[in-house]
Amino acid sequence: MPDLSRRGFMAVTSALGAVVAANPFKKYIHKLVSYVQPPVQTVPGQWTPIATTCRECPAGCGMYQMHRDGRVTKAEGNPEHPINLGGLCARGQSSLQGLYDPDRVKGPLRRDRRTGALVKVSWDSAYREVANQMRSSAGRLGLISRLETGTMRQVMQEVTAAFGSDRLLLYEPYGLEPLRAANLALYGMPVIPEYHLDKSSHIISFGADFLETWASPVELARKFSGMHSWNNGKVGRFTYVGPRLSMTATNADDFLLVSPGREQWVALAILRSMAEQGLIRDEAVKAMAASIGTGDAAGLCGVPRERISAIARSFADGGIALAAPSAAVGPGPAITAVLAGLLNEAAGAVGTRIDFSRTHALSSTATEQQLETFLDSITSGDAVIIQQTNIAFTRPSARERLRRAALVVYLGTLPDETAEIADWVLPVDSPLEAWGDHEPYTGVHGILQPTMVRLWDTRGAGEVLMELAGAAAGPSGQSGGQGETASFEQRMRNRWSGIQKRSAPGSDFDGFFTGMLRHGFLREELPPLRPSLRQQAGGLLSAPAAEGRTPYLKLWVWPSIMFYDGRTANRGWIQEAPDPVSYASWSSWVDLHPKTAASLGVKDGEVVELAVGENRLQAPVRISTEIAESVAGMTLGQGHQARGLSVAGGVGANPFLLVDPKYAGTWNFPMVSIRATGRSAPAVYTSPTKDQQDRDVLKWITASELRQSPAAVEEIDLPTPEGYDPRQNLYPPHEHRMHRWAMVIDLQKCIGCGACAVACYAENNIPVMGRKNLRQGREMAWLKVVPYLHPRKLERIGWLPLPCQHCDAAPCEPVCPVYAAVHNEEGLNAQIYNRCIGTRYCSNNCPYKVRRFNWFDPVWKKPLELQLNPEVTVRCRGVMEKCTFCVQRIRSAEYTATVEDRPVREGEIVPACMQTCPTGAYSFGDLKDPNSEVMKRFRSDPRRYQVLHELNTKSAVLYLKRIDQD
Amino acid sequence: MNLQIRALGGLLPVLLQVLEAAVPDLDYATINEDVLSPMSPPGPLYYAVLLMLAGGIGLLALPWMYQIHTGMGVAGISHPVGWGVYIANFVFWVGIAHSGTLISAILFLVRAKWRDSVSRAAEAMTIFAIMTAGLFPMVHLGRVWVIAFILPYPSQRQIWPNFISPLVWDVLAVSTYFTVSLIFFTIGLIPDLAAARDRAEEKLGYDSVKARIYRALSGGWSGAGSQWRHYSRSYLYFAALATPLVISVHSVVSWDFAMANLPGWHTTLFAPYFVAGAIHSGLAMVLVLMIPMRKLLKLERLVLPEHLDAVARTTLVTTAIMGYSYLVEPFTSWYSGDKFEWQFTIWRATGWPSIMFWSLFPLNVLIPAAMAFKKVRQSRIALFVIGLCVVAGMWIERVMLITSSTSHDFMPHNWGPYFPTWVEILITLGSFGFFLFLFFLFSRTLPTIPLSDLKGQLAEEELREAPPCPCPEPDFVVGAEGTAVTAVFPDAGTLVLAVSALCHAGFQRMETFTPVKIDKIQQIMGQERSPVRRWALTGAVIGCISGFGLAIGASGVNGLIVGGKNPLSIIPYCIPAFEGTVLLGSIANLAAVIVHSRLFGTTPMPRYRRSFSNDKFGVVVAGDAPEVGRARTLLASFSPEVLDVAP
Repeated sequence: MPDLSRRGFMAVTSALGAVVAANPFKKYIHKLVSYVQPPVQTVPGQWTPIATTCRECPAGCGMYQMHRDGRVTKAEGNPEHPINLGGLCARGQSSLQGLYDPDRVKGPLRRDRRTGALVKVSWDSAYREVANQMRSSAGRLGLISRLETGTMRQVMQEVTAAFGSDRLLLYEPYGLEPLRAANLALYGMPVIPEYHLDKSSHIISFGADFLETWASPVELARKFSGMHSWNNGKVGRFTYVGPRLSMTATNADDFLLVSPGREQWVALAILRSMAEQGLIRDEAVKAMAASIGTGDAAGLCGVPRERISAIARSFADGGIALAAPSAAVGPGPAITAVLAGLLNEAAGAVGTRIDFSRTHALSSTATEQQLETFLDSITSGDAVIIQQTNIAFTRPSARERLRRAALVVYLGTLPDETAEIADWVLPVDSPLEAWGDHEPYTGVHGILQPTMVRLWDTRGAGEVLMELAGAAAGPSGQSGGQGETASFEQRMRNRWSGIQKRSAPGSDFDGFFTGMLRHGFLREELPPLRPSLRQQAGGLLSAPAAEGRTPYLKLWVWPSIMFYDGRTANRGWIQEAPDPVSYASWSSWVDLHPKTAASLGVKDGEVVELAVGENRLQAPVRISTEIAESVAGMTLGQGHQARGLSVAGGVGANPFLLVDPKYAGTWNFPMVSIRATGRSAPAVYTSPTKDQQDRDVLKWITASELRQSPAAVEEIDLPTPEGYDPRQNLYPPHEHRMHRWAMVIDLQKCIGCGACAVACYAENNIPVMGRKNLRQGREMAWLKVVPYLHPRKLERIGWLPLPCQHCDAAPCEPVCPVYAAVHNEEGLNAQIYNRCIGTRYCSNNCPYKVRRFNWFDPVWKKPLELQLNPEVTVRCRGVMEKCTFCVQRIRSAEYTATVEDRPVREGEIVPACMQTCPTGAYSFGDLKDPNSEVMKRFRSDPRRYQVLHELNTKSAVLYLKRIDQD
Repeated sequence: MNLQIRALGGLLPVLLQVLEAAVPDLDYATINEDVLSPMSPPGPLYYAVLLMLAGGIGLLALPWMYQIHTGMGVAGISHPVGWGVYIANFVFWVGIAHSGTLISAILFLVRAKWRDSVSRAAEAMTIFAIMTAGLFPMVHLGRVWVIAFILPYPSQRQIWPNFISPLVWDVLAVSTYFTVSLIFFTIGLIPDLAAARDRAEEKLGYDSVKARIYRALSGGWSGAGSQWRHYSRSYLYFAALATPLVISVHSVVSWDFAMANLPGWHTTLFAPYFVAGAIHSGLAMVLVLMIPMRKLLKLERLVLPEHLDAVARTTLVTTAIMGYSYLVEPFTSWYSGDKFEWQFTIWRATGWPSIMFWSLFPLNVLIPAAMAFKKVRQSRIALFVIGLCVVAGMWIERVMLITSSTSHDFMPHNWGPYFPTWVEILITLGSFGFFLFLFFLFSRTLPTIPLSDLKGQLAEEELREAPPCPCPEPDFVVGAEGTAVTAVFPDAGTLVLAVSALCHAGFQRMETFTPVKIDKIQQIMGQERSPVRRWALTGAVIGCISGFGLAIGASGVNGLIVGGKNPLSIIPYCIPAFEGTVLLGSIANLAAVIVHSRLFGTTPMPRYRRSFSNDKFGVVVAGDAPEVGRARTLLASFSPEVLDVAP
């Protein structure tokens, strides 16, 4: 062989490399090729936040999608957005898994009449054929859509009008109809107002789980935390009245467990007590309170009088009452809501803390009666378009009525239950791929813009409707129609120019719109509105419903904070995330009170069959005192049966089957029959117990104690050289270079929503393990939000967000034989994945058990791998992993600081958990900076403590005790 | 540590009581024949069993490969129980490995004669048990393919293992234990291999395969006085080095747990508790293996019921220690007043591990305590069954200790159960296959009884008083050149008298050949000391220094802080230093015996006769013709069986 020069060698190898790289047999859809002309905002290798609006529920939180090199990998709350101020819930975090869902419909599908299977078609033929069928159908067009506001609603109205129809129905399963009905009765306004919980000092909730799924949960959680956290000796009070200890209820200082339907008596008792104690100033309200209903409200509600009157006194000064459970319909909850409205009037909340000038978008959704009328009136000639709502799942009785139509067109993203009954499935963009806008409150406008190119052959929903209208207008109109349809974005701009004219007259529209795209929202100032109370609201109360006797139970269903109405169920993160209170994952379960279970003779974990009429479902029992007697509780959102849903399919049971008004009647709480099957198949719980076993891992402090001794009472060991004590340390202290990172978690602020844990999955490429592995405790969560019972009050639960404690004397480190677990120079407990050999000793020795072992190679079904954070290693099987305090974010901030030649600023580093926390429970900073927020807390916060302090681990995560209001 | 010494102190008197166990009433040739005859070609049944056991190895290998390929998730270990049956097996097998070296080394030092009948099998058991044990940390590792990271060797990665970690101590302790046990085993085998060599040469011919193999293995051993002199000293040093090692190995293994902070693990009781448990299970395994072996290999005349009785009595001592430990463990937990410890103790006795917990008392204490009765000790079947119970009981104890503490630690929300999967069960069964395969192989290929030691007991009885040699520098060495006279005696006593006489007559150059070591000869010739001791001492000192040096140097290179400790933490480095002491001391000792006893050849020394490894004792005197003639006359007076003068 001739002498090969280095240059020659490089040439040969690079040529070979090129050949290998250009392997012609592999076809990747998503090429890892840099842009020839990159989009304006994107810089290769750098994050670009793209402002958009979350559409996972009607709340419309503002969010940034973190875009990098052509794909988005992380959802962050928009810190300026008036709704959520930077917070985001678990569902918002999971929006990426909605975008990258492997099951998404990837192109238009037509149902073959003979085989019943869906076959692929092109968009052109889909538009043509659907338009033809719509035109030739004898009946009218009906359009059922999820809640849309802004441009999309305009387009939908125009399209239905273009087909000569006015049958547009905005359908949301949790439309808070009782509340709207109550406000209609009280004020003549069927709306949901804006609640300024932060301005209140006492909240009473009558079954409204406003921290979970009620109207605008992130916003309300933020505001709740504002009034319920410790502020120089002041802390607001929260009373919850309901049949189940929901996540919201666990945050209450007083939890009144009443059987469903009895809330109204409690409300009335409080109102009367207020009147009796002379706490109502408004004479009209006072008169009404005296006149409403008959009977012994205080006796009927089953709550001691002293407790009622104490609540009444506290409530009279700065109270807000919320009512109507998210999933409830019918007159019962409406009566409670009326009474809650009167309580608000009595406390003077309306116009001060409750703002009727801004009404929630949910106010415009269809009522139960409108929906039923719509569905009943579908005839065999009709054409129905269903727009991004899985109505066949949330309203099982709609199935056969929809099938009566000659043509059912589904505009959706997933092959779900509604897709299964559709003749055409026209796949629409994920909200992260589409243009749009959303107005969650009157005058609060959010922008939706594409955060990346489309993954599949989909179209924007508005665009599809406009195309269909254009195609239906006939051959002549077709070309014009196409010209028009290309411009949903243009339509949106037109609408926004109108907004601009109102809010910023005289400015340049392009500049205005670019600013909107950057910030993502616009908040218009509105004139105040004080609705006047109608006088005929009295005389509403009826006698309470007869108590059910076994085998009949009242069924209490509630929307899951993770699944909402089931729309997020096909996402691994969400299935894996535990239900906050029961701590069940990948499961449905039936909550029964121990006495009820005993009378029925069912054991914990036993599968029971619940039935309403012909409809029945099976789910395992969870025996718990968290629910009232003679009630069966179930969460909504699970039980998908569509074959196309590979994650959610076949998991759990669907209680919508039982509560559908068509089957259950207009219900307060439908009566279900229950039958034990004798089969044991418990739900999957990733925490075996909530009992602290006297171990005081989650500490409480009473408010009076705190007021008396405002100095710190708990000994802690600072994770710095200061924490060195020759009496208890064998080894000398060590200095940290530059920084010593630490975290403070305020347990009083943590409401248990679990958003941080899902954010952690998104940020740190944490794999989803699935039901079977979770049963063995093999979830990979780096951060768990652990529920623990109050040591004495069993109805109170505190949450312990448990990330790695980054101990200064970390027990995990010295036991590692290969230095895979070491302390870094900034105090982080670092895990070196490529050094780890997998002895699992570190995990054994971690008293907090926050380390996670990779039992298998992680799997991301394509295209979920596009979501992976490029700055975080994907770990292979056999290595240990754990929370890093988001070291990639620390490094990124340090890098920026170095480039700008300045020290890292306080607050510049925000770990993913802290970023998304709706209530601001986390703070993060540097203990080497004596003025940092965390250092102040470590030094002197009266509520400070370290978990398992007695082990002398010197953990760098400080907890602030939860407050027990006595 | 204190308790450990006390435990050992309690052990010794009982051992001394059984010192005078019976000696087999046989002659040299019979012992030779009895021990070596099982090495003749085995029958088809043996091969069938061997094949079955080889299948057992497959039982270990195939699931392991599946586990490596798929991930540790195929095993039942989980979060929080990160250690399961694999680590339990490791601890169990290391425990089994304890009796071998205990019997060989400690009982050698306290001169317990009964050890001779069982020591070889026990040592072999030790070697194979460590090999089996050594598999399990590898089976257990998440990424076994990078296991080299745990070994201290210089590499471009510039990072060394963490000498603070109990797992590194484990690696050092177990590998040292294996190396030293292997050397000890091999050294002990050499005279017996020479006997096997001579028998094979005689029966199958000089060029037969077997003869070649044993010739190579025996390293030219001739049983010469000049070899025995160094050999017996070095064997003593091996024993002295191995004794603390036996105690240390399971102490170090126990620190895998005691160094962790888990309730139930973090206790100073663990080291003595584990060592006693290890010996308990090891002795039980000796019973389980020896009782069938003496039957199958027809060794009843060599392994007498009295020997089994002695093993049983020793097991009684460990039984008592186990009983004490089982009682004191919950007591300390209660007495500590520690909430975590006490809740854990109660849970272990009432939660899911309770079935394991309560089975320990009958299996490890109550049933073996039956050996206090003479009738039980004399029943082979009873001893075998008790042995099985203890082996099973100790395995269950390991599983319970390891899985219960991990499953029930500090924060209740982390608790979780453990149950092994089929992969773990098969691999565990496979490990027994692996162990028994090796043991079966051993039983027909190597002398299963230390025949030289056994013969030594006969020789000792024959010895008579003989005055030591007055001359200043006698010399053992006799070369091939010149003339020499060889006298062959049938017993050791006459040989000693002859040597004494020769010495007094002024003969300077002579050599003895004996099948057993006779310290008396060295005494007579004033050759009790051997340069071996200097080797051993030097090796040990270098080992100690390099152990510290390695750990300190590595921490200097790494400069990493773990657990808030300094990069340089001297206390934990005592473990590498100790292991280094024993390891290098033993290796130097081995080198010394090879050099001084000239064990690098393949042929025996000149003027050696095959019968010298069997039942004859010879002395050779070299010199010029008149001197040889004088010696011949002198030797003739002792009426040797053979008296030869060779040119």
